[in-house]
Amino acid sequence: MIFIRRLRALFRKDQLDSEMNDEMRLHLELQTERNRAAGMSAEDARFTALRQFGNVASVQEQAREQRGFIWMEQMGQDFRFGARQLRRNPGFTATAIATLALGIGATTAIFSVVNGVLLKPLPYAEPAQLVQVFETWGPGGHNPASPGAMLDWREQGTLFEGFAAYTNVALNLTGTGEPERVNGVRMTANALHLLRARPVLGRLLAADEDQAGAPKVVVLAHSLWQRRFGGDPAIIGQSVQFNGESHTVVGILPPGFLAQSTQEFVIPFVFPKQWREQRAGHFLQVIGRLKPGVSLEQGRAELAAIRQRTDALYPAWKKSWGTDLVPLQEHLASELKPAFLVLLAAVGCVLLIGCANIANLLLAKAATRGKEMAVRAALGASRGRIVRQLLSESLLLALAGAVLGLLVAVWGVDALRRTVIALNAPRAHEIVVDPVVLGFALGAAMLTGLGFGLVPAWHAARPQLRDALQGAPRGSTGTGDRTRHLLIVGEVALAFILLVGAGLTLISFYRVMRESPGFDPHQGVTMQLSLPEQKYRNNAQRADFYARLLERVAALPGVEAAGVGNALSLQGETPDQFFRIPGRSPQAEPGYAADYINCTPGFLEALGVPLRRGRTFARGDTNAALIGAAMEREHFVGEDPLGRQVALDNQTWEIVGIVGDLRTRGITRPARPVVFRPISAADAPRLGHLVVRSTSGNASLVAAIREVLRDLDPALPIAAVRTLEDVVEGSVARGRLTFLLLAAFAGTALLLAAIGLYGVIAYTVTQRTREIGIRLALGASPRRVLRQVLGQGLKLVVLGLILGALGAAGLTRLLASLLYQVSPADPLVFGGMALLLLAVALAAAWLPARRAAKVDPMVALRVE
Amino acid sequence: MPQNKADLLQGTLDLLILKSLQNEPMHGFGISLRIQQMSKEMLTVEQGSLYPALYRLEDQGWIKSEWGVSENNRKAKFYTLTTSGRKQLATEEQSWAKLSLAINHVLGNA
Repeated sequence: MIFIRRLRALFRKDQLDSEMNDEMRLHLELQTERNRAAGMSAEDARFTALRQFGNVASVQEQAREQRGFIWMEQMGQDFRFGARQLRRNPGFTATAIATLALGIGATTAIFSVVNGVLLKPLPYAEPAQLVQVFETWGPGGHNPASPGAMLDWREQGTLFEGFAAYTNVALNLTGTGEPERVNGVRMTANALHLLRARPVLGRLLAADEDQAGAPKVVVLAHSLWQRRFGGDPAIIGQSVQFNGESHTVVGILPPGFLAQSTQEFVIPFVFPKQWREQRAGHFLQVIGRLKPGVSLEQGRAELAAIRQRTDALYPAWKKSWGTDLVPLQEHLASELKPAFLVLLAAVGCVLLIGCANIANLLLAKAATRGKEMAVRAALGASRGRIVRQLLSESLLLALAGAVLGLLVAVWGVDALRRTVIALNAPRAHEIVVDPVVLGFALGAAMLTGLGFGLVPAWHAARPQLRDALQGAPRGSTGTGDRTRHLLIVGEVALAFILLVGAGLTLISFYRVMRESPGFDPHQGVTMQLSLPEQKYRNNAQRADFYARLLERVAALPGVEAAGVGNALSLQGETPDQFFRIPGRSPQAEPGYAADYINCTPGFLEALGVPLRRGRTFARGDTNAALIGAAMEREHFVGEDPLGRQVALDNQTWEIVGIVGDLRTRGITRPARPVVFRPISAADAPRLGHLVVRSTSGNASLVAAIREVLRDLDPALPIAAVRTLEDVVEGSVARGRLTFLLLAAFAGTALLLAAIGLYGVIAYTVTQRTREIGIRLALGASPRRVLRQVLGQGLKLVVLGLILGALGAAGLTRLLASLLYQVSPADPLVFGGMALLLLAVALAAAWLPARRAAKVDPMVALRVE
Repeated sequence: MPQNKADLLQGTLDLLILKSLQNEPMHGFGISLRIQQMSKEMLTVEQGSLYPALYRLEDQGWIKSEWGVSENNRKAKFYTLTTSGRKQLATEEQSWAKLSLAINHVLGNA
C-alpha cells in the first residue's frame, strides 16, 4: 500500500508540488487575515505571518523529504544540479571528459584485443582439450614438426584422440572473375573433425581425401564463399579452379572458423610416401586433441616416451630434439599476449593518472566551494547527502567520458584489428566490441567515477564550517592538501614506470633497427610467383620459365640484378634440412640442420648479400653450393670450406663461395647456418620469390615487371609485391606497434603528470598568496620564495620517482620477452627517464613558482 | 506576538496533530490553530514544521487528505484520521501518559 502510494507520488511529483504550494499559500493568507483582524497593518500582517511560518522553501524541502522514494527524486535533482555545475565550468568539464574519454577509450580498445585473442574461448568444441604440438631443439625452442615425427605420434599416441597437420598455403583462384591469390590452409583430413567443425553447408573432408590420388576437393571458408560466390548454396558439388586445377567444393565452414582471418579455404594435405622417413625438414603445424580427462602433463609424458622409443631408430641425429605441447589457445595467443598485456597495464596506468588529475581538480574545486558546502551543512544537509551530490557530479563526468570513450574505442578497435590482421596474427577477427568489452568500458567508467569522485566528495562533506563561512583561506596543511600531494606522488610514480617501459622498448627497438637483415634493402623490389602444377609440371619447365623471366627482367632499363629463390629472408619460412660433410666420421656429425635456399644466379646479388670469398652462382651451375658465414663459423672451425663438399638429399655439392649471414628466421633471431643451391632442371621450386635490384624508381619497375610477366603467362597471378625495405619493415612491425603504443601512452602519462603537478602547485600558490605577500613585505627575497615553492613541488616529484623506480624495477621484468639486447633494469634508461621526468616536472612547477615570487605584497594583503 | 511559550517536546507534534484531527477533518492552518487553542496558547508550533509532519503521517497511512472548500469558500486540503491513525493515536496517548507519569514521579510531583 505504502509502496504503491509512494510510487504514485514519484510520478505525480509536479502535481504534488503545486498542491503543496497551494496549501501553504492558503495557510499564509489565513494567518495574514488573522493578523489583520488583530489590528496589524497589511504589510505587518503579511510579514508576521511569514515569520510565524518559517522558511517556506526549507519547509517545502522538508515536506518533500517525507514522501517515499525521495531519494530517487533527489538523485534526479543531484544529477541535474551536477550537470548545471559542470556546464558552469566548461573548461574543467571538457578537460575532464576528454581525459576520461581517451583513457577509457584506449583501455577499452586494448582490452578488446586481450579479450578477443586471449580471453574468449576458441570457437571450437571443448577447446581445452586442443593442443599444439612442437618438436623442440635446444636453442631453437619450439619448432614445427617433421612429418615422420607427426606420424610417430599418430601411430603410437594412446592418450590422444588424434593428431592433425596443417600448413599455410596460397593458391591462385581462377575461373570466376579476376585471377586472385587466396590464402588458405592445407590440412590432413581429420583436422576439421578434431576441431569439431560443423559445416554451414555440405560436409568436411572425408578420411581418404588426403590420400595420394584422391579426387581434389576443397572446403571454403564462409568469407570466400560470400566474397567470390555470393553465398550461393548451389556451389556445393561444383568445381573451382585453384592453381589451374579443378577442386570440387564439398562444404562451407562457419564464419570466423579458421584462426587467421586471411585464410579462406581448406584443402587436403597429402603426405607423399617418402615422408614416413622424413624427420629432417620441420614444417608441419600439428594440433592434437587429448582424450577427455587426460592432462597436459600426461600428454607431454606420452610424447616424451614415444620420442625415446623412436630415438633408437634414428641414433645419428635425434638426440638433441624433444617434443612439447601447449594448449592451442595459448599457442594462438602467444604472439600477441605479452605485448598486449603490457599495453593493457600501461593504458590502465594512463587512466589512473587521468583520474588522479581529475580528483585533484575536484579537490581544488571543492575547496573553493567550501562556503557553499558549509552553508548547505549549516542548513542541515547531511554529510551523506553532500557526498551523494558531489558523487553524482563525478559519475556524470565518468558517464560522459565513457560514452565518448566508447566512440574512441570503436574507432581504436577498428584500427587495432586492421593492424593485427596485417601482422597476420591469429584470431584477429575476434577483436570486436562485444558485450564483454562494453561491460568492461562501463565498469571502467563506474570505477573511475567513484575513484576520482569519492575522495574529494568526502573532503567536501566535512568542511571546516567556521573557516569556510568566514572566507578565510584554509591552512596549507589541510587534509585536502595532503591528499592532493599523495595523488601527485602516485601520478609521478606511475608516469615514471611507463616512461621506463617506453624507454626500454625504444632502446630495444633501436637495437633491432640497427641489426642488419644480412641483405641490402635499398633499391630492391620483390614479388611472389606460384607456377601452377598443370602448366609447369616438372622442374625443367619451371627452371626454364624462371630463366626466360630473368632474361627479360634483366634487360629492363636500370636493372642491376635479378633472381628467383624459394624463400625470402626474415620470414621464417626458409625450409631446413639435415646435412653431412663428407669425409668426416659419422660420430662427429650429430645431424646438423641448415636452412636451405634454392636460387638462381643473380638472386643473392639482387638481395645484396655480400660475397665474402669464392664466387656466387653462375649460369649452368648444377652441383655448386654456397654457404653463409654462420655455417663456416659453426662447422668449419680452422678449415677452409672452399672446395669442400656438403651432402644434402643424398647428393653432394661443392662449396664454391661463402656469403654474409642472412637472418632467415627474423631480424632478432641469430643467423643460422644456410646452404644455397642453384635452381636447376633437377630442382626448381613451384613457389618463387622474384627479387630485382634497380636504379630506377620502384613503381615504374614493378609496372615493367608485371608487363613482362603478363607477356610470358597472362594467367599467372602475382602476390606480395613489396620493396625489400617493406620486407624489413614488416619483420619489425610487431615490435614497432608495441613501441609506438607504449611511447604514446608514456607521453600521455608524462603530460598528464605535468599538468597535475602544475595544477597542484598553482593551487597552493593561490591559497598562500596572502602568506607569501606578507613574507615578501617582511623582506623575503623573491628568489627565496621561488626556491621554496619549487622545492615543494620537487619534493613530491622526487618521492614519486623513488616509488616509481621501485615499481619499475619490479614490473619491467614483465617486459623482458619484448626486449632485445637491453636489460629490464638498464641504468641508462632509469637515469635518463628520471631526468626527463624531473625536467618536465621542473617546468610545470616553474610557472606557478615564478608567479608566487612576483606576488605584489600590497595586492596580496588586500585580499584579506 | 511571541510570548513565553514552552518548546515542543521532540516527537510530540505527531501526537498533537493526530489528537486535533480526532473529531473532524481540518486543513493545515486549522490544525495549527487547534493545537494552540487546546494547549491554552502554551505550545508554540512553528507553523512551517507542521507540514513535513503532515506529509510524514500521510506517508505512514495514519491520515489521508482530500481537497475541499474552506469556511470562507477557498480551496483547501483537509486531513482526516484513518482507522490505523486512530489506533496510532491511542497507542501514542497511552505511551505519553506513561512517560508523563514517570517524569512526574521523578520530579516528585505525584
